[in-house]
Amino acid sequence: MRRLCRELERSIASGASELPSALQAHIAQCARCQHLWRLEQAYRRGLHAARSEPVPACEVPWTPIQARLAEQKATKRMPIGRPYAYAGGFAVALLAAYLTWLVRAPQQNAPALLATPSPAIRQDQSLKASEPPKANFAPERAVRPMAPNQVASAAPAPRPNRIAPAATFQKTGSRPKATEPLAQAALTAKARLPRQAEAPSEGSASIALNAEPFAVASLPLSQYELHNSLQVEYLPIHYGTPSSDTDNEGNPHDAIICSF
Amino acid sequence: MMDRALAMDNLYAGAVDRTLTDEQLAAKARAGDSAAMEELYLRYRQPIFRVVYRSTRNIDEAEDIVQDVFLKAFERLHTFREQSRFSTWLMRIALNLCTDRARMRHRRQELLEREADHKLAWSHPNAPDPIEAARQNAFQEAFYTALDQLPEHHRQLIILRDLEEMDYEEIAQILGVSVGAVKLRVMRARRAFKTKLEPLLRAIGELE
Ligand SMILES: [Zn+2]
Repeated sequence: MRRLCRELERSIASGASELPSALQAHIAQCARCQHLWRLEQAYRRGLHAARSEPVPACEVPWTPIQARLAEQKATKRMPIGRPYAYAGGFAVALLAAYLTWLVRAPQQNAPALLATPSPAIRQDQSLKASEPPKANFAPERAVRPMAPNQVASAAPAPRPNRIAPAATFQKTGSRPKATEPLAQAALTAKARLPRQAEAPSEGSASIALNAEPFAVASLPLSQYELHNSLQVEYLPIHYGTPSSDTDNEGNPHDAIICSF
Repeated sequence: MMDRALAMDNLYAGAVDRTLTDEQLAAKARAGDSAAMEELYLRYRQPIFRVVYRSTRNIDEAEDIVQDVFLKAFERLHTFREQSRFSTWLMRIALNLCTDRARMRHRRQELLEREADHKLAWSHPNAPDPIEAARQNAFQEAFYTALDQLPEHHRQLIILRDLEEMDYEEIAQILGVSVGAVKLRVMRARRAFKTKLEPLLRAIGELE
């Protein structure tokens, strides 16, 4: 590229309106520079026309903008207490759902627990000695549903969900009074569980069984407070006999005894 | 109705000291002073509209953008650190919104064109091309057609520097880049513009 061609490009870039005579003479001879210069002139003409074209007045008044700003502010402003209220409400809802589950869980889980071994505590092998007659086993699968108020009661009460053989079914024990402390209630629960005639020692992980082969009890685990009253979480306890070995879907540990 | 709205604007604007600087008004507006916001709006409504209108060439769309600019500005006033002038900060918001709108417009245009192509393929196989359309229009139409065809970042530089005749320093502040960078970008934008303009001018006989 010749020196004058470069010079013209510089003049165009700098926005020069008039060219020196040397460049004017060059443009008359150089087709490329002539084209560049004409294009530049057309561009400037277009700019000039565009600049002189009147721009309409913006007629948007302030009031709608002010209104939208106020609207945005209102939607963003949330009372300070509201998030806490939401959180509190959510917590209460969660607690209610948990309580509902607690009420229903022992009923629904009972058959499952009968069918599968609990990893927690297994029955002592000595229980095999007190195998009940098989005829008494079948009806014990049916778990007597617990009334919700049994679970919801504030007192740490063992709830003997006892399933007796159909022929010998009878309600054993009664719920302790609401004021009974947890440990006492647990002892009461143990005391109210049907015992075997020759009971093993308390130190072992087993509770002796009496003649009744199967019983289910929900035993108090831990206390917690709800609505200023004391609530108790229950663990469903199963105990049984060696009949489990042969008539419990292959599970030798169906009868589960808890020690506490 | 618009006249009445403008009259109301002028009435309300009396509530604030008009001798206050933009930054003083911005500080008041940040504290929730509605009269200060209004004064800022009345000061910059038209300058912002000018730039936006040059970019959109559509009054309704430009007015929509202007509203959005001020809504966004007053909403984010706490982010204005006074490291630049209020007008510069406002213009930056406007250009960003123009870019967003241009993208949307471009997408919509593409869809429409695709749809039109599909229809034309069936009914008008020999539809006029853009050059033919430009031939029927005046020189100014060719100019705006070329401007429309530019990418938004180039178009904004042409508008700011060559149409609004802002100085390089101001543009550098708006874009948050150096003056040298602005000069280089303006040069590239002009080159790109001329590349678009040239065939259109040829088509209408303005160039050999
Ligand atoms: Zn040359």
